[in-house]
Amino acid sequence: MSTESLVNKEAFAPEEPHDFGERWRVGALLLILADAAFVAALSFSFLYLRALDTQGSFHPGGTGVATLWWPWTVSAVMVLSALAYWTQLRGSFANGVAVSVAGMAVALVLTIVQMYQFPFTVSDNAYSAAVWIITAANVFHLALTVFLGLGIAIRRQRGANRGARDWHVRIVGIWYTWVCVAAFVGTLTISVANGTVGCPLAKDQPDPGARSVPSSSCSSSAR
Amino acid sequence: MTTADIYKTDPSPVAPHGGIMRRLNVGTGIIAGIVLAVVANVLAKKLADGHTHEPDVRAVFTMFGWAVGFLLGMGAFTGPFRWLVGRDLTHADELFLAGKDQGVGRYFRFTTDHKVVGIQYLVLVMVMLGAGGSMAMLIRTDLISPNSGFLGPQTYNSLVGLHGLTMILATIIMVTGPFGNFVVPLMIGARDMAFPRLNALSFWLLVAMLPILYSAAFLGGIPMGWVGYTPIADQGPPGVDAYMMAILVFAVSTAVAGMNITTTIVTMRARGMTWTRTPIFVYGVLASVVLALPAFPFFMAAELLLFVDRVMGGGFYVPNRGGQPWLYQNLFWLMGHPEVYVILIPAVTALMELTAVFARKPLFSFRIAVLSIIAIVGLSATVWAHHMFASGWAPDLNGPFMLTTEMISIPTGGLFLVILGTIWRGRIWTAFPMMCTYAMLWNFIIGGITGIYLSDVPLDYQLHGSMFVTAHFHYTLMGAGLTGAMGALGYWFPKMTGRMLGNTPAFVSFWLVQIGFNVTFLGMFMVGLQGQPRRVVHYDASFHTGNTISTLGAYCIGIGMLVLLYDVISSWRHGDLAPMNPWGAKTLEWTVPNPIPLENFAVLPVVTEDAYGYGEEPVPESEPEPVPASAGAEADVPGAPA
Ligand SMILES: [Cu+2]
Repeated sequence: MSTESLVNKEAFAPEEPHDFGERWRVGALLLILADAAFVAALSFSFLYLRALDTQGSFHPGGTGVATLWWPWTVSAVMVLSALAYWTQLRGSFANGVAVSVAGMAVALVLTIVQMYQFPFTVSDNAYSAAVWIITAANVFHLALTVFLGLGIAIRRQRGANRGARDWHVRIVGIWYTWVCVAAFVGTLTISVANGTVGCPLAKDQPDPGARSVPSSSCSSSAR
Repeated sequence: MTTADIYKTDPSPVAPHGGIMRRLNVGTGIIAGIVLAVVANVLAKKLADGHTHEPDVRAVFTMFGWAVGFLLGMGAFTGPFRWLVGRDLTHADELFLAGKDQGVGRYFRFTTDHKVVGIQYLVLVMVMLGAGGSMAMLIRTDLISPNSGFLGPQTYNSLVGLHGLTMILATIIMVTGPFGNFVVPLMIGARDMAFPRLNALSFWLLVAMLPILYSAAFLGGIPMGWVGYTPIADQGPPGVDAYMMAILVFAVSTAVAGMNITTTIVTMRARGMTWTRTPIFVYGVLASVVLALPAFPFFMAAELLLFVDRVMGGGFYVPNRGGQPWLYQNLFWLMGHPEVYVILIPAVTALMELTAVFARKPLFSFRIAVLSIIAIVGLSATVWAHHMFASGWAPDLNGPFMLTTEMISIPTGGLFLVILGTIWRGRIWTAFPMMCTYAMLWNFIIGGITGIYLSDVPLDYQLHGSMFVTAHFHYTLMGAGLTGAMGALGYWFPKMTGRMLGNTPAFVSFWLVQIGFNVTFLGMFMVGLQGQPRRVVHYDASFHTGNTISTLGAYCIGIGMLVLLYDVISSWRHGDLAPMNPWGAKTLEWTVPNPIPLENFAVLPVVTEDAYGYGEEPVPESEPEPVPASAGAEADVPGAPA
């Protein structure tokens, strides 16, 4: 059977490069959907534990809270990188892709450094473990992003993004946008939880211990 | 000018690269896996020497090393690496990966042809069902008398957990794996899956998972049952690490497979195959994987948090550090209940597909079938806490969850009516697959109705944690799900293997399994109602009779399954050659010759009508060559043993 010309999956006429591209995009969006469910699960876990504050030990004090400017800075770097990527795709920034890869790499390094700088260890309490895992998820996202961005940069250099494969560039762009959203959700979750740790519980519950980190969002009268 | 020129898919004009890629197979995978596992183990010892969590750190490092090494040795990362450096796989590489002219060897490689992957899944599922079934036999043997002493309490606990997990994982993939991969692309008139390499990846991830899962047996077992509940999971031996890592790998495989199957169905249906002309089985597979896609990440997250707890001393599930076992239960059941329908929908729709064929009638009310599936998918995300009525979590929500759970029985009933309506006044060809439809109707009614009892909050307080629950979900997952998969196997066996499944042994197996099944689990309902708890090795003497009945029934199932296994193996090796379309069915997979050429269709089909136009023309039963093995089953028995 002369399958030689037929077997190459992309040589199967009558499909157009456009069809392949659309198909790849659908696949990428579905993987992003699964990843979004994962990010939502982490975020939910964090806020749920905060809301329950089991035995008053979610963040009983004695250890610090994560500084917020750090994850927000990382998020900002990521957004700027994604913008650089998309501007090159729109044709108005010649080295956008290279800049975006560098930006994401910087964000990756910053996040890892941040994890070493936490004023707590992962095993202190539920709060510390939750901040740790959300930041670690961002590291995973960023590592994957750097891989993909690097691939696109190298492939552009080598002229490998031809025909249907030009779609890879746009699809990686979608991934860039998604990791920014994921980073934003993670950072927002930490911010919300940070804003409430150190707040006293309801009046009828015994205070489980000294809360070393009063938060600005707690009203002083409640304390 | 060739097509490759037109689409510029082959950027490398020089000779094909990837000499190493061509030498990789499951052997190199195992070697690389073992090497990396040893390296990771040594590394972990250096890293965590003397630390409290050292055994867990070493366990997870070793398992991770194994999984990565195995996939590396299989060649799973070749594609991504070549993509990164801008040297995409060439035409020749793609041909090699598709398994062209490779004979049996392609089943032991990272082969991308969906037909190969479908067969690989089928064998894997049979191995897993065999392992889980053997464990079930051991469990039932122990329970034959109140204090048999056949198994120790720890061994019993671990066996129950491993049996449960093995069976759940096997049933999740038992229809969408073998038939979703092999049959669906043919059924929709496509030449392969949308992402052939990811298809191979999803399968080999499962192969990488199995040794991890079963290493639990040598690492102290999993004392917390298949659900992996905390806080026991936080405190358990390193066997729990095996559970956790196996789930993480399985979740990745599910996501990849789900995304692949969904993309294939949504974007690659033949020209003219509108949604109203798409066969119901395709809907069933789509619903299953679409449901699993967002549901499994919750389980994955649950296990990742457990990972932080066990390996790094985190406190997600430890109350005195602000953690909460309810968190695990919520995350778990947010996956756990949708997963029931991930298992059931494709099995039931496979039976719908073949019922229309064997009743020689259009599927009764295609629209109700589709709407029911959509309603089940939607509702199944709103019922998870019915597993937590007795846990004390959110008592105020018990009522609403009871309501949503009872509501889901309405679309489920819709699926029943579709099948009954299809059978009604049909000219029924009572072959083995059709018998599975009857059995499913019987078993699923019992499983479904007892489910409504359990969704009732007061009754659930009484029955929770009893053998009644065990009997209930065996009636749904095994009585309906596995029976559906067996029907699907009988139905598509001729297309997948090119040979007919021997009819007489199939019938012998059918009756042994179904009678044994009902004896086993009706006995279990009985002792459950009397109050025998699940997961307890010794029981009160008053439950003796019911348990002995259950055990004898279980042996009957075991013998029946062995008969089916014999039938499958012997028919596969030297059964009667199957004609192209032995059942006279109208879906596209029966329009390709046996053996199926690599590209499936020489010319892609164009669809002009739905697949259920039976009764609009002379019955084509006599059209295909009569096959001796199934000739005895062609008697018309309308309204046969329901
Ligand atoms: Cu449920």
